[in-house]
Amino acid sequence: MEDVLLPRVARGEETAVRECLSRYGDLIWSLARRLLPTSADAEDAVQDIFVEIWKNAERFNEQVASEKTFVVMLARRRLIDRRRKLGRSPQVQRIDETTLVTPSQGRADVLELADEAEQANRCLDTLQKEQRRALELAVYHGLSHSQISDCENAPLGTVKAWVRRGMIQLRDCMNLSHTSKGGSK
Amino acid sequence: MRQSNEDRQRFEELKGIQAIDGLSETELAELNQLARQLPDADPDDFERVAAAVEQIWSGEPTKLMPDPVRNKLEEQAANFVLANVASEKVHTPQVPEVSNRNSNAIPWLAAAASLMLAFFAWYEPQSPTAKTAAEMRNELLTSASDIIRVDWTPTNASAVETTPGKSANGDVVWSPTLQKGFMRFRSLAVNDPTKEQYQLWIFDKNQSEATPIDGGVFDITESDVVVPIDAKLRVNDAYLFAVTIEKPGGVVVSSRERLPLLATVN
Repeated sequence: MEDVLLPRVARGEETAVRECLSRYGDLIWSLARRLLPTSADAEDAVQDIFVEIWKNAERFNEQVASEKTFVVMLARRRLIDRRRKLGRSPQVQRIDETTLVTPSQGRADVLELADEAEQANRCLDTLQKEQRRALELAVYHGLSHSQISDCENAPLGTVKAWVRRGMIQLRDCMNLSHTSKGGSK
Repeated sequence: MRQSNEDRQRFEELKGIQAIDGLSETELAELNQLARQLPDADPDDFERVAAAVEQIWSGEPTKLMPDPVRNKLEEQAANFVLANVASEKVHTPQVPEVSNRNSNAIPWLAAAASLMLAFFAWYEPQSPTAKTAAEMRNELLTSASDIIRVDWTPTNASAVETTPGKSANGDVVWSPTLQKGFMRFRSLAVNDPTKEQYQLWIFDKNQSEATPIDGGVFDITESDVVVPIDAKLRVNDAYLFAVTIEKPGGVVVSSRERLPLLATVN
């Protein structure tokens, strides 16, 4: 388990700010390249994301989530926001049944995962097929609710319900609410 | 009680939208309002779940941040620390060197300096010695010891995607260790990026055939071009490279209806 950096970043330690960049740079770059249409968009986004992480470092609460999860959460928030403003998102044609295969299925066991991610792997198996597929399209492929609705030929309300119920089930299974851990934000 | 249940339902609906689509200003204000009203409300829990799941599905980072981007961020990190230190000094009365007369100006000066540095760092013009894709391909061929090199094979569909009177050809080079590669095309039809773009798909033995790895969207601007491969996931064991023609911006999953070129790894 790596040492947490964000409390040191919050104290303004220059080495921690640089280590943060070194530790999470490739992760955030990969995420940005996957969720944004161009490399130029990704370059702008990672700049915003790191400023956001440094500024919000003091909000990190180790009791609620791992540092990596906190960093990915902030990154996703900025990327989704940017994509919303760009008015662009991945386009989808036809998705057949076989795409139910999880993108990195079969590799997760060899990865060094954060605690929440290990737990998420177990909890994902408890989801209904539709919930899991909707979450995969939304979280991994970056599709909006309405795009998933088009892909799956399902009413928008139904898709939102799949996502919402899936999220609630995972949250409860992973114990990822600050209210369940007594942490404060 | 009924109102409270409706509020909680709406709260969860908004969190779901936030984690997937993002919220408008109005929706965000509504979410925050509900978070204040509801006991034990956690407005971030769905985003936290998405972040945890993201780590599972993404696996290890598949792309290394390019050095120019990393260098700019390192400068930005230094500016951030500098601005924070200046700000700290202003808020620490026992520091003797900060006079009251100038103290209000320091955060502004620090911020201005930071912005200027960030601006010049970010908009630094590209080096005139930047290498072309063809030069980088040659470098890869001479430096990597595990190069896969396969020729493009035109498909039946390629007849309509080829420069008239010529057959499209070229090759793919890929280094599994460096996770880097290039495609070379000759006589593939020039595309209009506002109407359609080419997209590379990499079939990996560790992935389902239905979900090949997106190798990036690209344009053909002339008869003989070299295009860097932009794989969105780690490629462990490639067995087939395929080029499709898609809508501008590419697609997440291709219907593979227009597939002009294939390159099979023996």
